[in-house]
Amino acid sequence: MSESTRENTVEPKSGLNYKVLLLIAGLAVIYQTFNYILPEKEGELSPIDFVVLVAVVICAISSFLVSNRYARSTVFGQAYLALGIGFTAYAIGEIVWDFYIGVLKIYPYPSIADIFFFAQYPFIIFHLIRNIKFFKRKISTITKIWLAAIPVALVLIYSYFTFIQVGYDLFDYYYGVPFVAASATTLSFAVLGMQVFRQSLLASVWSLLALGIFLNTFADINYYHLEIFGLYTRIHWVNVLWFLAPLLITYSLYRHYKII
Amino acid sequence: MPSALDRLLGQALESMIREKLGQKTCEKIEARLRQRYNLDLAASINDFYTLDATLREFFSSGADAIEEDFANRLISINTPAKGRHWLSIANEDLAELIVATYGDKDKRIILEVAFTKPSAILDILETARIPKSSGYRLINQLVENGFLTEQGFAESSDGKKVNKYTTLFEKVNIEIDTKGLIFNTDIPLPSIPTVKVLLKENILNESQIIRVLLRGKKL
Repeated sequence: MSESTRENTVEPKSGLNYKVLLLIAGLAVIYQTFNYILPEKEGELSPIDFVVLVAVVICAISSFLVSNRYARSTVFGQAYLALGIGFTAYAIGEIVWDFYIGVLKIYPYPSIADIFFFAQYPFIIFHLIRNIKFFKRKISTITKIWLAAIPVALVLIYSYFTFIQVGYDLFDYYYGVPFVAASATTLSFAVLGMQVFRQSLLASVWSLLALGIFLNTFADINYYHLEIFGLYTRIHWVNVLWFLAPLLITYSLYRHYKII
Repeated sequence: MPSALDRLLGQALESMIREKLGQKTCEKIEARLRQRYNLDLAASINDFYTLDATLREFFSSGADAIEEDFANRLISINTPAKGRHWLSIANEDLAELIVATYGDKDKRIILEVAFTKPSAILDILETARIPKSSGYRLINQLVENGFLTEQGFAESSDGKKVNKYTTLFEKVNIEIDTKGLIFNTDIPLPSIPTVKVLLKENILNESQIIRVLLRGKKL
């Protein structure tokens, strides 16, 4: 740095607004309260069924807006486009799910909706890898080990809690394994991303993104476990996690938009 | 004033940064550069430690990977023999600029004259037999783009101290592989020239850009 350069050391703003986080938490409480209050009737949809869809659509639109903002960047433009496509696939899966229940009056597990639910994972993983690879060239062996260990451990936990109980459906178990593995892989890369950006201006963005993906993965694993025993209902708490996750990711997108 | 090598690399580096990070991110980085150092992106490239510090503030250790990527896309340094380095130009725009500069007859004559004997602008133009009106413009372009670099002083006819100039490069190798020509349906697209340059002096360490981008590598 030349001696003539006068330095202003005021730090740029990079933190989170806790009022927004409180608002998101409040929305989650309201959502789950209504989820309990509104009766669940077989073969019928209630307005609460569309709330998760709305959250996912908001997240998809936000991803496309951020992607559009960075359209000319070879890193962020493609990464956020992939995230948008991933959440669009998720939204289509939700629409197909609701169509099965509301119109066809069929319980949609397994169904075509699963193709769209599964499609979100490769796009989210692409988003995470694209960002990480640009900002971290060399990944140590230890990192590679824990990157692989997280999905393996979560699949083992899913398997363990399946086989210690009686009455499991083996088809549903095997059907759920790829979803659990893919969802857990998104969590692995989100944690790595959080580690890569931990001292940068994007630390809060990646912490929120990792938290959102963690909640999504936790809900996914529980859901596929519930389906093995036919225990999933609309009022189950996994739904509130599915509602919270896209909202947190949307807020992380907004912060990314504001910070860089 | 930035070193000649930094002036040469600077423009290509700026367009590379804008392409990689995108306009919006560059605007944020520029805003921070203005706030912290009162510099824009182009000026911070000339004072590269300021840009390095700002990239580190934004991306933490991720800045290492960004800078490594820029270095790989800009140049590669061949193993030195007797302390001299051949630089392979990896950036297409930079390679084109070198080819265009050495392809221009007047500029080439100026560079040959300055290489043979470092001289003041007027002396270079006189020896090269180039009219002053166009000659000054050409020399300004060569200085701005880093092909000419200051080396010592001379005294003008009115007794003033003026800069003497010499070339940045001692040798320039340009290879155009005609096998690489790509033919579109009707318009042939030229292949990218392979450009290698040998610096006139062992001045790699004078370049802030090289020192930051190739941090940790022995020069």
